[in-house]
Amino acid sequence: MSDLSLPVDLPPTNEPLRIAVRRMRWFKAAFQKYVDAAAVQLGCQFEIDQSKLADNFVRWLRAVEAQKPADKAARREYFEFAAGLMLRELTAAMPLTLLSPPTKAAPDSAAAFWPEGYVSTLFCLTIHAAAMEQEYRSSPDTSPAISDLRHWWSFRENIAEDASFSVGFLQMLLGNQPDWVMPGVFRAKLQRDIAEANNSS
Amino acid sequence: MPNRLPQPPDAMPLREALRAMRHMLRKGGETLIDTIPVADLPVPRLAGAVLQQVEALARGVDHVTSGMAKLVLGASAQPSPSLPGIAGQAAPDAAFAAACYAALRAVLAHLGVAGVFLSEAAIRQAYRAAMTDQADEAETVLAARLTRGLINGHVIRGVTAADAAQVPGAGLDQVAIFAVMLWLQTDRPEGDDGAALEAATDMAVALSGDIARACATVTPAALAALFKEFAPRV
Repeated sequence: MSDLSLPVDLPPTNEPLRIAVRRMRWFKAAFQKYVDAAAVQLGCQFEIDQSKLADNFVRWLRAVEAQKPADKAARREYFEFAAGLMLRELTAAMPLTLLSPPTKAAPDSAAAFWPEGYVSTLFCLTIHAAAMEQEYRSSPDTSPAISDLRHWWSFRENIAEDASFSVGFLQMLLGNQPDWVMPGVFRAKLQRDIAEANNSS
Repeated sequence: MPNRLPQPPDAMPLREALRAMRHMLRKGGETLIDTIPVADLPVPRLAGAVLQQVEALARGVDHVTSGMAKLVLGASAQPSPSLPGIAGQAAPDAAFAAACYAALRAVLAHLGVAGVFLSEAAIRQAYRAAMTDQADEAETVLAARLTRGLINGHVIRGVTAADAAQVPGAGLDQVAIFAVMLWLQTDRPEGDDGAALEAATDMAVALSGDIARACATVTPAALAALFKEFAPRV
């Protein structure tokens, strides 16, 4: 995980994280806790629109279920894709409002450039990292691109055109090659569907 | 002969009557203040005193209501109620009505709606009407039929335009009742009751369009499908 991540303890749960994160009460508590910690670290204030956050969650849940692969071999890759979908929903209807600008972030940093997008992205990376650690005992690394402000400029500009760009952006931050043509479509499932269609014709 | 304790009297009709009186007094006082500003009256001091008396009466009714409920029933609703748990109780209709009433109150408070009247009697009636002998019926289908029964039974009354505006799309009653029924189907530890009910309410608001469409269909299937999809996600 990047050194940009925040040392936040996610809310306790008796369930595996991949299950807990798909419960609204855990998701809301985790987001609140993360945003509170980020606000302290960045020296700013955020307000969370709980209604938007609930919308984000419901849309994410449906998107995750709709593309869930039956093939267990694709599960690990899907974890990363699901984190990207979460970022897509958060950036498509941003639940965060900045009430006061960061006083502790470097002026040329992503956190200063777009605090709401930065915190949402790091939240998704944190959830993804925690789930990967729990399921696979592996800690994903983030790409150096996360510190490059040009990527954040591009990210913010492109999601105004297509929110699915967020999925590709997150994959890029995790050091993978995104599918920029259809970033919101799970590649493994798409390939399987095409193969099935070819076989049946 | 075994020593049997006498059945305590059913306090619900009394509670319902007292709540109705409290609602009427509150609404009446608000309407009076809205209609005739006290300062504009020829004898404002006297009018103010009358309104204070009305308010004191309403507060007295509140006190009597809660005191009576405590005296006769003890705790009004079981913690962490669930539909199967309620069905296994000696008086399931009363248990459901108590749980549903308390949860609806909390849901409406979370939505910022105050001052509506909730009919515990209508909730109890809806439960009785929805119960069938279909033992193999899925919990989601029973919940869907109950939801429709509660909506059609107008258990939430006196909703103002300002109250209704708290929820987009679907009616306030549909969303609030859906939230309670969703919550009743959610696995949760006892300490999570409040957080789960808030989450169910937020989820119901986010699903208000789906709920309205499901309620507009003839069968409970669409509502049951929504419960199946989202009860494990609260």
